[in-house]
Amino acid sequence: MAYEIYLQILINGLLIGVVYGLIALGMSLVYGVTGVLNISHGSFYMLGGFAAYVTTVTLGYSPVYGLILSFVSMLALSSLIERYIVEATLVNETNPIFVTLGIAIIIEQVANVVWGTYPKSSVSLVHGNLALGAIFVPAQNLLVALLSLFLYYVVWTFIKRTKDGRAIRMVAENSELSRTFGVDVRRTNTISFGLGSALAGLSGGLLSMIFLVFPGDQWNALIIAMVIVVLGGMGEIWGTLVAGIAFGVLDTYTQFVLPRFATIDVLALTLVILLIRPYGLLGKKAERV
Amino acid sequence: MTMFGKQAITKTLAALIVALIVIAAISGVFVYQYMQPTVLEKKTVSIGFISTLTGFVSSTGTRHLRGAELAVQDINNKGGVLGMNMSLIIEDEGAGSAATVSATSRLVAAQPFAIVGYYFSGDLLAAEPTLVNNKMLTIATEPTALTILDPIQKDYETYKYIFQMHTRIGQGTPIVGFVSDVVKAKTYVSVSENYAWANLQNEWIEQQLTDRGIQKLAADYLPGDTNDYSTEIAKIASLHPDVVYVCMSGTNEALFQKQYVQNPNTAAIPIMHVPTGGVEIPSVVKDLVASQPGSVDYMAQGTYGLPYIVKTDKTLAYYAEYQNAYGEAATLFADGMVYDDVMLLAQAINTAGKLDREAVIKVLETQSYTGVVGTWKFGQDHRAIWEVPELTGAIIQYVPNDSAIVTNIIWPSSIANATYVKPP
Repeated sequence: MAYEIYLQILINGLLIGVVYGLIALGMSLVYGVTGVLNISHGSFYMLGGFAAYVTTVTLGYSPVYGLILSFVSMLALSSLIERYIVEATLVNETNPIFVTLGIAIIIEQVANVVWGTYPKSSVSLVHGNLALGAIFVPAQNLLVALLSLFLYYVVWTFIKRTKDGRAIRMVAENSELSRTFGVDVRRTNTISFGLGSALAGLSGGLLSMIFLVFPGDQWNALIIAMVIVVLGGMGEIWGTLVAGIAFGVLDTYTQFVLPRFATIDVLALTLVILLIRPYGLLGKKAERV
Repeated sequence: MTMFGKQAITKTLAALIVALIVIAAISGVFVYQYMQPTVLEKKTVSIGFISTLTGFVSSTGTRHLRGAELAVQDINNKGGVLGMNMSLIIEDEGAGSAATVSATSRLVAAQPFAIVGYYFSGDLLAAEPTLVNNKMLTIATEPTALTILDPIQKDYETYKYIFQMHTRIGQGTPIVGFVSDVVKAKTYVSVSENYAWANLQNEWIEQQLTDRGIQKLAADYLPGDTNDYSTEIAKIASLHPDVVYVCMSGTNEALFQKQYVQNPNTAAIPIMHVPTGGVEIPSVVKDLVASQPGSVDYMAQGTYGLPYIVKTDKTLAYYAEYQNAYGEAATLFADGMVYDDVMLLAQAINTAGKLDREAVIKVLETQSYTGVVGTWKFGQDHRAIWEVPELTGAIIQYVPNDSAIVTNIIWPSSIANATYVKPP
């Protein structure tokens, strides 16, 4: 078999891995700051996909508006959920897990009623391919990956350079101590949860152009996000990018060499890595960043 | 862990209580509406129904449910079973076998006379001990694994409660027709989801294609939860087959097709899907084309969704009823099969003359039933023997035409109204 196929697979893995990383980035942010393992994270991903579908196919607007709606609607919805439901249950570490699991199931059932069970496909930002000899790169996959990288930069800048970002870092380090410095922990938690979930929504909007969206889709996204967060280290922005790419490349190569074992390989590797490095590949030996 | 002030929690709790009251009120209205039918005034024969109502094959599960609902409606309109109305207790097969076992336990606890449904062989295998331990008569719709009923030969008394409807023949016939007759291919690649049904179908298809001298370049099985098929598609492109066929179901089938046409090297290779309710569903095809023009170009689709493929004296009436109820064409493979499951069960109960599982099992073992899909009877191993009159499948091709999508029948020639639109 020609070497081009291996290069093609590498490119496929890189591109999809960057977007997988973006799904996980939001989850990592939420856990890193609030300590909440958000099981409904995949649901915001799914709803973001539906937002893009409704905007582009049902209403016929540009995919750009679809992506904006994916982000904004999930920011609003998740902020409300955090403020009025999740926060009220933050009396121990496990409550939010069950609460967000319940939210995920409710969202899935509502999506079933609203959109039905058939898969939906949203309109792509661009069509066509870029050809590099025998290798080709789907223009929309490339654009989605580049947008994801840009979003990484935006999130990183937000956290490093803004007042709210500094508050997020302080709360992530030590919420009790940050309160004594005048940080509004409650507001910071809401911002983190909202932003993290909105990133999931935006990922869903972006990937609905490549994949399909349907009720039940959220569990797949949740597993991908959890594996990447564990691999990259909880709360590690760039760790999720590296782990996402590693996930994407490994998964695509396995699909090529041992198709029946695709995905399983990544899960097995995650177990091995956790046995060797319990805090993830790039995670620090601290409770949170 | 972050803690918050007492005042804030009190407000939140108040909001939660108000929200719960609103949800309870809304639920009450729904419950009131759905509990109104007169069936409550009359003794009912309840039948458990279970299938994939959520998840990536929920489109097929939904069709299963519709088939069951139509059957119950028709049975009740004709006087019910043993003079009693029939009703359904519905459960979702869920994501994974653990969820299926839980759902099965709930169904068994609700004490239906029998259970109809199941999608995945693995799910049924996991639930099988619960079913046989509770002596629950079960007609399994989709699971194809032979291991489900293998034990019956050694332990009839334990496993006699399980009947398996799905047969290995049928779905592969149009594939063989497309590869050998329509495309006249010399080489092929098959891509399948790694489930029992696909393995069994491929076993038969591959033998048929080998007998015709058609060379297999690759036959890959991918996990059922695969999202990204780009690598498999790149591999296909590198192999340059004359044709590709796909054994996937529901969302997987549509997802593969969407990504297949995104690769310019595969977009021009003829592709065909087995009839499983993925890209056989017009609304799914419409969405694909709306989001990405060219999504179904050169795609052929096996189908049971046409009323002239299988004709019993009940087929056409069922199609009309389904179309009227749900606004789309029925498929014999998904909804039609469950419709027949429930109908043959009702017939067996009526023939037995009593709600006695042992008696009904004896009837099922000896009596045949002609439904909308064909004539069913069970062998000694409780696996169905499906006698399909006339054809065992056909091939359609969707051709986008201005604002509409035209459905052409391209195979077999006896009913074809168009020829396959080939890649340039």
